[in-house]
Amino acid sequence: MLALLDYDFMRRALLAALMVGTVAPAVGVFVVQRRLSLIGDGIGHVALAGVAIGLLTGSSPTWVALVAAVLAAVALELVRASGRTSGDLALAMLFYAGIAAGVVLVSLSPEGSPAGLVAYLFGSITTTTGDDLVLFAGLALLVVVTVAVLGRTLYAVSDDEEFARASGLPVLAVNIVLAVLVAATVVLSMRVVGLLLISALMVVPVALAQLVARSFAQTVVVACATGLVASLAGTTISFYADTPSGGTIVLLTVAAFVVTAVVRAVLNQVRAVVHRRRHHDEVHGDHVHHGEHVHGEAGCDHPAVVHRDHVDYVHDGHRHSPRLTRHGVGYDEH
Amino acid sequence: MHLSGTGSRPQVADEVIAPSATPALSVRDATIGYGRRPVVHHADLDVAPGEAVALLGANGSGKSTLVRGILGLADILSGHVDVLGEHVEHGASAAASLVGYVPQRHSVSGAVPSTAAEVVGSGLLASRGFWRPPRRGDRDRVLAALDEVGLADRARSRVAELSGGQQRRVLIARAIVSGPRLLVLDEPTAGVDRVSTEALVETLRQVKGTGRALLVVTHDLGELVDVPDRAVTLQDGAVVSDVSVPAVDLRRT
Repeated sequence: MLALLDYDFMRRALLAALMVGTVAPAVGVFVVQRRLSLIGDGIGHVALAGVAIGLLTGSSPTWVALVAAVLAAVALELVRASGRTSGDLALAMLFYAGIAAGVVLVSLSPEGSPAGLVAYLFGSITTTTGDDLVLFAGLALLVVVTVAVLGRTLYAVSDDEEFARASGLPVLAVNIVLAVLVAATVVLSMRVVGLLLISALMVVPVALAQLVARSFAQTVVVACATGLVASLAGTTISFYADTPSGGTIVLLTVAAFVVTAVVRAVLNQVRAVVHRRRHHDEVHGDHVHHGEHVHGEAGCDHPAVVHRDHVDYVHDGHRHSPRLTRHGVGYDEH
Repeated sequence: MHLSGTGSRPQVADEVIAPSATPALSVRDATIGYGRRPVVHHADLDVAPGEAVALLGANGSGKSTLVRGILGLADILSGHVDVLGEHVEHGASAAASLVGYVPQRHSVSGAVPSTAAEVVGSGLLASRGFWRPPRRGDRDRVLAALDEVGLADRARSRVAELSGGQQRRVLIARAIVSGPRLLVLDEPTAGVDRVSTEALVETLRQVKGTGRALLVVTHDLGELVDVPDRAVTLQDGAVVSDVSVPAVDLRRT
């Protein structure tokens, strides 16, 4: 295990993976809440054009990619805020122009090769340079500090834009901040995860976290922990298995999601059976004693559903129907 | 942000607000719309402190535009809108702590789980200064607001697990947590079943009882029982009737 730390490039890749794995889900949670899960993909497309321009002009591909990604992010929010129906199409054009320009320009550049392109698109552990690491550390710090200071505001705006605007929050500015955070994350992730798979690392850990978390704060913690573990493990596996790091990391994350979803579904089934048995005893053994209230009374929040000739009450996902008993009202399970 | 005056210190949610002479809302000969297109024409509407007014009208009658004008989200093309004596302009965040807004939403739960307390906490950001770190009293204010809507024990529940009526009450708590004196509710009972509506109306009664003024957009005046003191009807962007509501008669319907 420690053999891989003997290699400079592996130390750099693992450091980058550590930052990417933690930061991407922390931004992704707001992106998912805003229902813009694919925004990272679009910005990644444009970042590829930046990489290509960097390679062609002999400047740092990472820095030029950062400029391109930030410009695309700001443009995206301005187009969305204008509310024009053509906006969706305009953004699609921007993204496809970005990736097309990227592919063509990379092939024209002196260092351009199909292998190089694959490394940018899908991630490669050997490509992170020392200079990249310095920039990545700066970007990771920027994202972490912004989320720490503005996290509640990002949450409020992502959760309910209409309310946020009415209550006087600067919605457009906050949305631009979030878009710039996505751009920073895209560039930070492009060496290890690759430009085509960044969105997955922003979104899939959040999808896993929302299966188990009870609050937004918990979702952030679980998602970041998932991203961190998957990135480090994926990077390590890609060293031994000689696979692209981005694909390996994302496959691990998706596998973790599937396992979590299955375990959760099984647990829910077990819980439902136990619950039903307990209720069965209450209704037939004792003929009453349903919780502490009669359905339909003030304070009862179980939704009422009209069912043929009577009213059922939705209760933990199933329905109760009232039935007169010796002691009062009992509830049958449906 | 462009408001003159300083009368916007947030108050504790359950504090009873002293009556004042300034109307909670005064809309005078206001034409409201978007860009140059007017939707509401020469509307007059008053809400006194502590008064509850129902705003009625068919779809497309201009109810939403009038509400958006009051919240500073639509253009006031002529006339004027004052909230608690403060002039409202488009883009000015009059609503920050003067108006509490309960938007119409079918479901409160977003794509990511959040607790009732987290949703209500969003209501504190604008009045507190969103860039500031949370204060020690924030949590107490969130709990006080949840208590006022009868959900003190659900602070840590996922909103997705609450019933439709409870979710609406969480949104009311979010609107009152910053201590506004005017509450604007957009179709609070839409899509809520009869039993939950009763609890919701009880919450509105309590919110009104603390001295807050209410403007409630609704399709169904009867559902609000004895809460509204007056009913204002909009038709084709104009106020066509403004009558007081005899509460006793409505209770029977």
